[in-house]
Amino acid sequence: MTDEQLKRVLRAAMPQAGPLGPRRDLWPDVAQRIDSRAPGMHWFDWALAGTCLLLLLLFPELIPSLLYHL
Amino acid sequence: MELLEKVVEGDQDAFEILFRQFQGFVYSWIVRIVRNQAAAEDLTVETFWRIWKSRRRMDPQKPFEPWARRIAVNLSIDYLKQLRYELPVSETPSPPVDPALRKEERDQIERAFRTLPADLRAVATLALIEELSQQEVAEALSIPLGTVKTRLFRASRLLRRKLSGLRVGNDR
Repeated sequence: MTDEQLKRVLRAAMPQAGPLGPRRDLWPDVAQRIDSRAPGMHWFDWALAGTCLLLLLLFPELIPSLLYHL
Repeated sequence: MELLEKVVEGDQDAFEILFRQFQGFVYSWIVRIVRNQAAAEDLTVETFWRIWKSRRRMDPQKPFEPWARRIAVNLSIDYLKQLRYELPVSETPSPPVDPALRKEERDQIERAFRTLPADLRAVATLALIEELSQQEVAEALSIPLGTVKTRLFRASRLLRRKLSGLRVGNDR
């Protein structure tokens, strides 16, 4: 089978995709993915983390007891 | 401020404008490689999601199309790698197949094509079916021209071997 014959056979069985576009609006899917992966750290989370860190720095003797309860 | 600069800074409205400008471009590259409309739609969404995720690495001074195409093509090849051992999905976009070709022959050709390794299959699809020049294939896949030639040679050799018993190849 020559190169040309091979091309003809392939094109006969598997036609070109043609100038097709998507069958539906894909933007809602993209927007949903963007929104669902938006950064989730609320200000309250940061405040809580900061308070815990401050407490541990001020009262380091709490660390063993905290680790025990974990 | 230019559209790409707004996207880099995280402006989602600007990204929607960019999406609407280029979704057809991205989709057309993907569908030509994966040859399945539903998969091409999912991969188009995935492509734009990855573009959004990596927008800070985008250079607004450079053209957007080659960057988007590279992401789309890489995702398409990954998809082909996953599909390799699955049953073929017979959803070929229009125009219809050659009516002179019997269904068994068409299935045999499609099966032979689908068993090609993904890298060879992507090159063969673009060069042999979509009739892109080897230079265009090299640019689309971001590989050297020499690699395109090698992959095309290997794909053709494998296809000839698999289709050697097919009478169609000798009759047409």
